[in-house]
Amino acid sequence: MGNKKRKTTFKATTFLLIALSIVLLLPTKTCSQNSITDSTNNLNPVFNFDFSGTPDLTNPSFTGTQAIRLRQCGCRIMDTMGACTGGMNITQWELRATVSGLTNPDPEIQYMDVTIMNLNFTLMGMSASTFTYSAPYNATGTFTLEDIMNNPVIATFNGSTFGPGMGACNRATNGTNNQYWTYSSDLGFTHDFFFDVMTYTPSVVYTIVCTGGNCP
Amino acid sequence: MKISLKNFNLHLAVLIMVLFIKPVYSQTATYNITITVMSSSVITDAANDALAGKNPLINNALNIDPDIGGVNATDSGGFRIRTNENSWMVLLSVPGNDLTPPNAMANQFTLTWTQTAGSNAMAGTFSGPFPGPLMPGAAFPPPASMFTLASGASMTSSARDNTNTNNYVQFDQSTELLSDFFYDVSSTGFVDLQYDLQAP
Repeated sequence: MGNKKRKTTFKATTFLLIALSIVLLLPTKTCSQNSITDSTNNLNPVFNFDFSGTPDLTNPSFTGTQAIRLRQCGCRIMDTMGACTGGMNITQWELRATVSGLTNPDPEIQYMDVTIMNLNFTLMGMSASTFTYSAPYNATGTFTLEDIMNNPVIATFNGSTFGPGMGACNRATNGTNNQYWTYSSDLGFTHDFFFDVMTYTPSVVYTIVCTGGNCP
Repeated sequence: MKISLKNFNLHLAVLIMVLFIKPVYSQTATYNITITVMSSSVITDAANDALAGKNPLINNALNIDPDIGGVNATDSGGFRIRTNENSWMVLLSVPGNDLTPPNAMANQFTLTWTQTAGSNAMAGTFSGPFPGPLMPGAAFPPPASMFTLASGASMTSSARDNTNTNNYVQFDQSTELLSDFFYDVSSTGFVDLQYDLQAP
């Protein structure tokens, strides 16, 4: 108070020691993590599919396989080695998709013309088994990008157990994060003489969204 | 090096922010899809409208048993066209014929064309080099040069038809030869008619 100011000085080394102590004493609080990678674990992958074809009397026509790895860590508190030590698990998360790109004036190809077939989820790793999934779309059927626009949830994953949900927390085990769900499907495009002779560029973006439990 | 209380608070605030800041994790996968639709024009046999029926060879056989009041010999065959071009035409030519052995006359032949279209198709317009528009039932043969049988100003498919089952325009050709005692016995002639779908 007043004009008198107290000044306290610390040596920089003391300050750093205190800071380091705080870091070591606190558990690493990491909120639920999720990631999407490609088949070689590159984060945030961008895939480019080039389809080129001529309408003909065959159906469907050209297809390309898409595959990504999904990881959702169910822990909220992990130790410095990445193992689960406490906190509530998330209990539900979803894989969602958004589509865009067909904004040309009156393009003949619309979202309804690009199909996704052979939807498949494959589990890798032990800890991931604590989650089960349900896919709103028929795994063996065919749905279109227009279906996704109306219902962007590709699959819902549910888990009620405490602990690592997708195994991504188990880095202390082997450090490879080799527990994941693989989402794969085929992109299809039907030959139709109705389509204009031109190039179309739709895009699909997949995201993981926590929808149940203690979401970050 | 000395740190004042004011600076200490600042550093402490920064430290706390560093400790509790949430890491940003990537969580998207993006698929960029490039679809290029090429130009395509297809002719199939109307009786075999599938890949195996493309570029068909259709045989018409006219067998004459001359008689008084006899029935003319007729045969027919149809083909279907599909194209995603906005301008197309069906051209007809006669690449070969030999009617000498049966002693047939050109004006004893009659060709009749009819055009139909699937429920998801837009039909074309008949046209031709004969005096005035070519009318169905024009006498054979057409001029030696290629001429336009029909043309269209839009792609044949009017609506989505992923199975390509109703987006065709069909042309049926009926060939008729008069029954006449003038023809040579046990002789055979031939005429080749060729249709080309062009979409410049």
